[in-house]
Amino acid sequence: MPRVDASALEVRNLSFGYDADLPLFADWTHRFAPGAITAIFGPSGRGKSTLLYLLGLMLRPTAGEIVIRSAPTGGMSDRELADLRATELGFVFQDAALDPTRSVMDNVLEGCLYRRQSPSAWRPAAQKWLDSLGVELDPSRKPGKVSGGQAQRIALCRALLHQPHIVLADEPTGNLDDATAALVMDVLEDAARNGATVVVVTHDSRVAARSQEQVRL
Amino acid sequence: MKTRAGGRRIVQLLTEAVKVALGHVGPAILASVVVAAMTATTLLTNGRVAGAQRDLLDSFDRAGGRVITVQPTANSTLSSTVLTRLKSLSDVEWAGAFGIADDMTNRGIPGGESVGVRAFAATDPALLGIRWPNAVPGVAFADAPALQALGLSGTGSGGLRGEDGTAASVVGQLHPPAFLRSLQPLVLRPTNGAFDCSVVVILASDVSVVDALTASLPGLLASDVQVSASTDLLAMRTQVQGQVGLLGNGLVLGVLGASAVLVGMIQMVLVTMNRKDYGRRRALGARRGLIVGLVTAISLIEGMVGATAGIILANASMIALADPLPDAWFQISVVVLALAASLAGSIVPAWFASRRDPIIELRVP
Repeated sequence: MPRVDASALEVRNLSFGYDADLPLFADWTHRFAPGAITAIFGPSGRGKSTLLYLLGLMLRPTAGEIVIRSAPTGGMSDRELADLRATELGFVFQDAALDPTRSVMDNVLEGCLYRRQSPSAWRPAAQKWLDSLGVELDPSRKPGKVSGGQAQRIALCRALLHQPHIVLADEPTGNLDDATAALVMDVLEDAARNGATVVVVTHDSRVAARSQEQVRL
Repeated sequence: MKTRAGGRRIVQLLTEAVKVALGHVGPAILASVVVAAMTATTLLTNGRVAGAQRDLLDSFDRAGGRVITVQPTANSTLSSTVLTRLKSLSDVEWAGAFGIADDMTNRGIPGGESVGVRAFAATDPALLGIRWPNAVPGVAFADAPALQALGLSGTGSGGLRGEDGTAASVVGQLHPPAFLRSLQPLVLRPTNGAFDCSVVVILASDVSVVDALTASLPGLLASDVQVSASTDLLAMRTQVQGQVGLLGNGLVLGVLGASAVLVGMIQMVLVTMNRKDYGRRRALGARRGLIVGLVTAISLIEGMVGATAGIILANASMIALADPLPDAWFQISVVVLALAASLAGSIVPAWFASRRDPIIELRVP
C-alpha cells in the first residue's frame, strides 16, 4: 500500500540569496506533490542546486521556511535538522559522494550510524537494494575505481535504504548512459509510487519526460 | 535499556573510528608513531629516572632511613619489656631488644675468635629468620659472619662457651635485615623473660613518621634513654625525592605539550584532507557531536596503539640495558598522559571537522 504523505515537503514564503542584493528566491511558496517526481529546471546560476540544499536542510533560508511533514523547520536546532536529514530525507549528490576508502556495503549503510540503527540489522536490506539496482560489485570492494553509473547506483541505495519520505537528487543522471539513466529513473519512480516526495534537479530531458511536475526557475 | 543502547552507540562509533583510521593508514601510523615516541621518550628519560629514584629511595630505606635506635644512658637501664608498649604503636613496624653482649667462643676451638652473644626479643622474630616457637634457654642463632668467626660455617650449629663458663648452643642461622648490619656479627639468644638491653632497634612504618616517633619515645618509654634516628639520611632522602620529582614533572609536561601539538597538527591535516568526507557525513544527517566524537575516537585509538608500542619499546630497551624499570603505576600514568595528549590534540581538528559545510564541500562546480 503506497504511503502518500499529504504534506511531506513544502516551502512557505522562501527568500534566500548568497548576496543580499541578488536574491535567488523571494517570497516563494510551493508545495511539492507527494507520491510524484518533481523536476526542477532552469538555466545555470538560477539556484537549482541551492534550492535542493535548502530543501535538504543544509542551508537556512533568509526568510520563510521549509516545512517537512507539517513541521516547520525554521526554529529547529542544528541537531534537530541533522536528525531530520538522517531519518526523513534521502539525498543523492551530483557526483555520488561515496567514501572511496570504505566498502560498497559500508557506503550504503553509512546512514545507520546517524539514525542510531544497527548496520548488521540493515545489511540484508542493503544487499537487496544493491541487487535490485543491478550493482554487480562485491559488497566488500572499495568503490574507488567503479564507473560513474555504478557509483550513482550505490549512492541511490544509500539514499533509499531507510525508505525516506523525501528524496532529493541533484543531477542524478548527469553523466550516465541511457540505460543507467533509465534504471535510476525507474528506482526514483518506484520511490514516488510508494509515496515518497521526489525532487530532482536536472538538465536532462529524459528526467523531465518522466516527472509528474516541473518547476522552472 | 538506555545504558545498553548507549553502549551499542559507543561500540558503533569506535568501530567507525577504527574503519576510518584503517582507511587512512599513513596519517594514522604517523599519529601513532608520535604518541609512541612521546611514551618511549618519557619512559626512557623520566621513567628511567623514576626507576633509579625508586632504587635510591629503597636503598635509603634499607640503609636505615626508618630506623630509630634507643639506648640507655650511662646511669640508667632499659628493660626489654618496652617491646610490649612499642608493639601497640601503629607507627612501629618492628622492634627488637638486644641484650648486653657476652663474649663466647666455639667450645671445640680453644682460643678461637670470640663473638658477642646477646639476649634477644622482638615484636616479630621471624624478620631475622628465627622460626623457633618458644625460646629455649641456652639456644642461640648466629648470622653468617658470626658462624664464620666461630668456625661453624660448615655445620651451622655447635656449642659455645663464655669466659665465665656459661654455655650456649647455636642451632640455626639468622638472616638479619640490612638495617641491623651495624650490629653484626650477631649471635642471639631468644629470651622470654625481661632482660636489660644495650640497644632497642625500632623500624618505623614510614619515613614520614620517624621524626614524630623519635620525639615521642622518651616519654613513652618512661626511661632515661638516648634516642637517635638517621636524620641526615632522612634529609638527603627528602632532597633527592624533591629534586628528581621537579625535574621529572617539567620533562613530562614538555614532552606532553609537544606531543599534543604534533598529534593536533597531524589530525588537522587529516581532517583538512578529508573535509569532503565530513561534509558528506553532515549532509547525510551526522550531528556535530557525532563528528566530534568520531575525530576524538580516531585520535584516541591512534594514541592507544602508539602508547602500547611506546611502552613495549621502552621496556624492551630498558631491560636490554639493565636499567631500573619504573613501577606499574608510573607506566600507567604515562599511558594516561599519552591518551590525554591525543585527546588534547584532537580538540581543534574535531571542532573544525564538525563545522564542515556540506554546500561548500560537496557542491560540484
